[in-house]
Amino acid sequence: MCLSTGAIGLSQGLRSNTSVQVLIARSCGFCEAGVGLLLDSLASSYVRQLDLSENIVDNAALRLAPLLQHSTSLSELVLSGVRLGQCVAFRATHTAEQAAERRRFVQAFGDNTSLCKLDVSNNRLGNEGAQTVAEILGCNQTIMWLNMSGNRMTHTGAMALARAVRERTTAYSSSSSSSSSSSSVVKLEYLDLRLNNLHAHSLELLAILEPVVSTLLIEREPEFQGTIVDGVQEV
Amino acid sequence: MEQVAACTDVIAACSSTLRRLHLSCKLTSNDAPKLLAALAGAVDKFEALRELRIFSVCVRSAENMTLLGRVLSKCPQLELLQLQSCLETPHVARLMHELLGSATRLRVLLLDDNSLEDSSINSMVPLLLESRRIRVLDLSMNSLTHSAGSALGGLLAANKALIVGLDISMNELDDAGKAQADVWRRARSLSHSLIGCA
Repeated sequence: MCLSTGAIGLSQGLRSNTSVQVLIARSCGFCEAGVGLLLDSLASSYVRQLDLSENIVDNAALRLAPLLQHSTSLSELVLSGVRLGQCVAFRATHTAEQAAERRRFVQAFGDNTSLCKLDVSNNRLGNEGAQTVAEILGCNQTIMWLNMSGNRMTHTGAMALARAVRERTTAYSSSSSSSSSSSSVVKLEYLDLRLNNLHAHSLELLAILEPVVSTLLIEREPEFQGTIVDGVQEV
Repeated sequence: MEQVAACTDVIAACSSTLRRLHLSCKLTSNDAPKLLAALAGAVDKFEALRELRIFSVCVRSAENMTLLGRVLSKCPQLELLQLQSCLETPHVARLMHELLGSATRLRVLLLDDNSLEDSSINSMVPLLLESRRIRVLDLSMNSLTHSAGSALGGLLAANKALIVGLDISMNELDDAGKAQADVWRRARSLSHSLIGCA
């Protein structure tokens, strides 16, 4: 158990604060307990942009749930390099309790209607974590910007994500076409899949995602010599 | 020296309608007084100045701080002040006292990448609470520890300061995750080196 004295002081201040809208606390040396305190204190805040990257978050990520469920202002959440791969919500569950925690976590994103930008890059999420993110995309309708780079994901995880993005777009399009005569496909604005193990499948992913993502970042196959598809940036 | 001359020429050429001034000079404590003296000599042109950004000008001595204080006291319209890689802990409190007393329209205070220690923040917080003016505060890349974290908690509590945006990145507010933070700092440094090589 670590002593999070800096986080304690800050969280005490944040608990009663109603003015902070942007909190950027990258690389502050916070541990899991400290991040947990901060997230607890932000549960009923008006924070719009929250960046806790490069601290140790681990299972404290579960304590995002109240903030996600109650907030109507949180639009940007940046959790890059915070070891989310260690969090039970992003791993295969072995017990009923873990499965329930994971469900609650995913549902919190489903309940949220303000989050537009989610950065979970560099977290070693692997395919299991990618599956969780795919489920989040499946139940959340507002995330339009997603950074999944640097997560040791392979074809399996990427395909789960790709299917979720495609199904989400299809569902959104059909619901908007039923209420409006002029329907247009609402694409995910940005998806970063770089620095994963996807080289051998970049063309396949490109084919699936090109119609539903405006800006896709993915490493190309070494032998791929095609032209850059309009609106899709190959790197 | 060439940089100082170029900057002082720019300052001399400024008109009194100047709204934004950005000075990025990488000046040592020996050269900084010349630039600050040029600024102090041109204060009558800063009546309308809204935004002042100074990068890498060493303002660490008491004399330099006095010169800077003189300049800032003559910028009544100033809304944004950035002093990046300029300051050290001694004298900062005095500067902030003068600044918050004179720049009544100041809303954005960016003090990133200085070597500010906890004592700077401990002395700044009461001034910020009293002035209730600063909305955006950037204290990233300083040398703050848990004590500053507590002081900032006091600033945020009870909503007295009305802070809207706070950046405290890349400080060591807690020891517990220091190893993790160090790994990221090394990775970032290596990545910057590689980009530099390319």
